[in-house]
Amino acid sequence: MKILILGANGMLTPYVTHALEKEHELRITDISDLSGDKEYKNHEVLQVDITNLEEVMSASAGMDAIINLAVVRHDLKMAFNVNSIGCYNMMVAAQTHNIKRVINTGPHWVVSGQSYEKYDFDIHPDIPTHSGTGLYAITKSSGQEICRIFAENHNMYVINLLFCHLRAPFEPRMAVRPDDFWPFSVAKNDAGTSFLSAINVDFKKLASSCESFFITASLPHNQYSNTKAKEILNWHPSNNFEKYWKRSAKN
Amino acid sequence: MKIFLTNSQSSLIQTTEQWLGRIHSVGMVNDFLQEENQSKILMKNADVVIHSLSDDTETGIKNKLEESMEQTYTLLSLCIEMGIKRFLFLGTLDVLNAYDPDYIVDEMWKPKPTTEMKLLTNHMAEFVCKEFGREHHIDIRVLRLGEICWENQSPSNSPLFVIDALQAIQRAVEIDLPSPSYIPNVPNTWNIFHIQSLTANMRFKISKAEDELGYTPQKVEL
Repeated sequence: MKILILGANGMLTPYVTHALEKEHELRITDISDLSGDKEYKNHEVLQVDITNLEEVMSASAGMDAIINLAVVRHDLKMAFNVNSIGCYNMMVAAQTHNIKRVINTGPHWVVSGQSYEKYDFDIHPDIPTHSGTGLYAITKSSGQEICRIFAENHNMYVINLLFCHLRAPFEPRMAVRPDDFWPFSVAKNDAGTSFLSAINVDFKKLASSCESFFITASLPHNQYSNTKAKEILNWHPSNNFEKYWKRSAKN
Repeated sequence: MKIFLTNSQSSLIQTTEQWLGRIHSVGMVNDFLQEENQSKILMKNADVVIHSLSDDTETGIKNKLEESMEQTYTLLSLCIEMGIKRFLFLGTLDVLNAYDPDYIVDEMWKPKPTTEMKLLTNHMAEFVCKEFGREHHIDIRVLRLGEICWENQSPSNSPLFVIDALQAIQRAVEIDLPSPSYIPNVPNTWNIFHIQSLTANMRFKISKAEDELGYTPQKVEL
């Protein structure tokens, strides 16, 4: 399959490309120039601004699937342009080029914002979306809503992979206490394989044309559920961070 | 009351400004993002903001999307910062057009926008508004308007004569909505109202606006 990756200059992309490159042909793009990046020397690399419809249209030509990793978290104008309007551009390009499979990404707040996060357990990705008004969450949630509307109206499929903490296996997290642990965490290599699962999943297994999945390790906290990702995508995380929540695994 | 309106190039907004201006203090700008400083002056001590999206067909897609999401978000954030208590968004009943025309559709039906720009942008503006309403910091009222009619007759299946639109907007500006009796201490900060003129066998129910806003539209013979 020929796969376009948008917004590739982030921490997740090396893990995504590693998971996909054996079986698929990748076109790596970002607003910054990644052509000299050794990580991507075996792939086609293009400079593409996701906020520019013509550039996204051009980069999408001949592709079978699109993965959107683009994100801006703090700048108001850029957050709307990249996280929301960027999704519009991606979906118009997918529609134009008859690309049926789109993998969009975002934080779990796209679905389960503060009104869930601080209060609830057994949270799964099919709950009604409550992003809240935080800039990062609402712009990403708006982007996902645009994707959903395109998918429902134009015979396309959008798979939303939602993340929170992305961790290298033994990476100390940005926290007051290095052994603190957030119960929505996934190892970066496991995050990478979730994209392979999303690329491979049969559309017949999806309940609708736009489905969301929580990509988190299998954790006993009972706050966020990855069951749907395991059952539908056949994605199984290898690192469940036992040393952070199991006394016998600590040493 | 002091009222601030966006989208001043719209004929409906210009008429609204004249209508409300008879009894209220009204200021307006066309594009809030382009005229932010002037807007802040006009919004100072305002009681109500009335927001709507441009129907200018010359505006580019990116600007339309920015207006719908970024402008709505920024405007709502500023309203909260400035202590403005009430926010009206004038949307469209067209976000429900995808349902079978035989269905009788009220505010409890999920919007079904297409990717056509007017529908998509109105839906996305509502989407942004809803998250603010959920957080209870400002009283948000969405008036989903029928097709505005400037003549005495209309072929539309959801006609809204200007005089009825003005009445609905005025009532939504002025009327306090109590919290439901079963949750008396929770602010009533999110309401949608379907607004059209009365026709025979109506597709869109307006009983919520009639009951809660006291909206009394004209009867239209189609």
